[in-house]
Amino acid sequence: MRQGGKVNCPSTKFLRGFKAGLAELRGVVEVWFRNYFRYPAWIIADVVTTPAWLILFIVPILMFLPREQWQDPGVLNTMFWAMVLWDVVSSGIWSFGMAIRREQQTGTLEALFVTNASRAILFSGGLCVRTVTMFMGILYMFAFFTAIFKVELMLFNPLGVLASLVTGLVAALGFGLIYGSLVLRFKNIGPLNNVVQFILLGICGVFVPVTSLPSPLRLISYTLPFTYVADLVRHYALGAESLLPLMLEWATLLTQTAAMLILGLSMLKQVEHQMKYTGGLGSY
Amino acid sequence: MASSVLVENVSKVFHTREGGLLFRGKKRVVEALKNVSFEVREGEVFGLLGPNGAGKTTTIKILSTLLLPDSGDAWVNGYHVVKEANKVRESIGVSLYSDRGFYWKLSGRENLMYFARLYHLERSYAKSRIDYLLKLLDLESDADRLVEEYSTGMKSKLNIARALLQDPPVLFLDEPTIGLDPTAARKVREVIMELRGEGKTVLLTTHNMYEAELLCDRVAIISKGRVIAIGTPGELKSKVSEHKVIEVELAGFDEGLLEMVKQGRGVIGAAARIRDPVSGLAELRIVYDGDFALKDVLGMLLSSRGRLISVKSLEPTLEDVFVTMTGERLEAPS
Repeated sequence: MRQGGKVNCPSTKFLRGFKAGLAELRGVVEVWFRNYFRYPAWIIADVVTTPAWLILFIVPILMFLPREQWQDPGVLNTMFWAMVLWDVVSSGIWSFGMAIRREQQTGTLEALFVTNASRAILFSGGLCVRTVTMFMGILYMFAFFTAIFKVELMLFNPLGVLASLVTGLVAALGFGLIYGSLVLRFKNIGPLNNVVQFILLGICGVFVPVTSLPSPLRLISYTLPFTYVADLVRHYALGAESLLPLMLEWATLLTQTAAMLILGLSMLKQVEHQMKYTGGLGSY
Repeated sequence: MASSVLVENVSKVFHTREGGLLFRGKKRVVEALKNVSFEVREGEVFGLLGPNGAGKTTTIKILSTLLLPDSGDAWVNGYHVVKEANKVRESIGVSLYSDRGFYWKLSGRENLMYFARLYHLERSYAKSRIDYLLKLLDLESDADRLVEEYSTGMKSKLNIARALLQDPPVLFLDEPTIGLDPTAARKVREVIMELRGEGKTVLLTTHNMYEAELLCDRVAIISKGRVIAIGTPGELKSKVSEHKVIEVELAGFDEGLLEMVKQGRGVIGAAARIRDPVSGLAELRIVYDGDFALKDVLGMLLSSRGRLISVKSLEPTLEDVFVTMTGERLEAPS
């Protein structure tokens, strides 16, 4: 048997490493956007359901607040930024799972796995579509809060808010990879992710500061990156006090984000390996 | 001649569940491959010939790094399929039998371009390569139509075009002509012969003996997860060339009759294909030696409850090798 035979294919000659990743990313983005814009019903559903979801979410929260707080700019601003954060984190959490589920249903998983493309990039396509709906959601929220509540939105440090939200999105992608691995393994587990997302963001103080949570829950909150993302967004947008000194809070957030990404990537790799043993890689 | 593919004692077992709800399905262990070994030489068209469920696709998936073997080793283009999976993937093109596997809201060309990016082909090279492949497979005029409008044959050809994208030295084609109309099947066979001319190594699976005879330099006959014979079509046929073959069409067939025929004097092998389960219309293929055997067999058939419709004397083919060795027929009921 000839060992290490010569590979006469262009893939070995072109675009290694970073360039290869960029080529893959470009392909994934093109495919997802083409798919999205060729399903008019998909776009219409997003345009219609995003504000409906917003109303269904905000109205019950308002019902629990004293009526005089409905006009309180501080409360409304907190809610606005909480909703933005919800939207951003949710985009990250759902992206990979949504993409893997779609590939399972399309029947393209095996064709993808026979390439050497990065698995994380292959399944990042879901984020493209989620980004569209995320911006749509933020626009709707902006219109909703400014037109209906006539609130002047506060934004003390736009760069700080942007940095916090982007980091939040990356941390959510880590969770997204874990969810994606579970989709690859167990297929249809969307409803479970919905519940986990509510619990996760609930205990991370997205709507209520973690300091007001019972102490056992607070301990869990401190181990989750979204606690610091929510806190930093409130700090940079509304000028609220941060939980920890800023440098320490950023360091904690970045460490946890990196840990989530590493955990997510290794879980995806492990599940792929396991599915190659069981033979369920291409099944849906 | 060097080996392009080497498979040594590969075994694979699947643990599946049959029916049931939630976790209650009955557990079933399926031995898909049992110590399979074979070698495909460089530049050779090698066929895995066997009926459905024989283990052909499992073999291709292991060689394509889509499945991990439970035991044994395999190398493709000199690389180990488990330890050097990335290198293997760079060396191969794979076309798995499936009606899906493409993005239906993209055109054929867009689908190929996407996979070209995943194979890291330079854009200008990818464009010309895609144009070439679309032309090669007669898909040029339909290249910009959405795949959802493609026929089964067009999707199969697109599948082969995708396998050829990175111009790999080794190709795995799983049932490349299944479900195709004769024109499309002929085109695919022409392409495979052209690939052989270019010096590519092709491993294809088929349950069509004519295809195996026509395309393959060598064939491995596989049944129930075991390779039962390997050789050139001529070598394999020589195993039965001394024998005689008849095909009998019979109404009111039952399994008991087949068993009786198999036990008959001078009968080397016999297998049936049910064509109509309601009327029991079946085709029996019988490999035998000596005129006395023919007389006995016909006697059995005439005295059975079945109604003899026709008897044809045939030249031995690869199917008769299969019938002789397994007591089964190759092709699914038509």
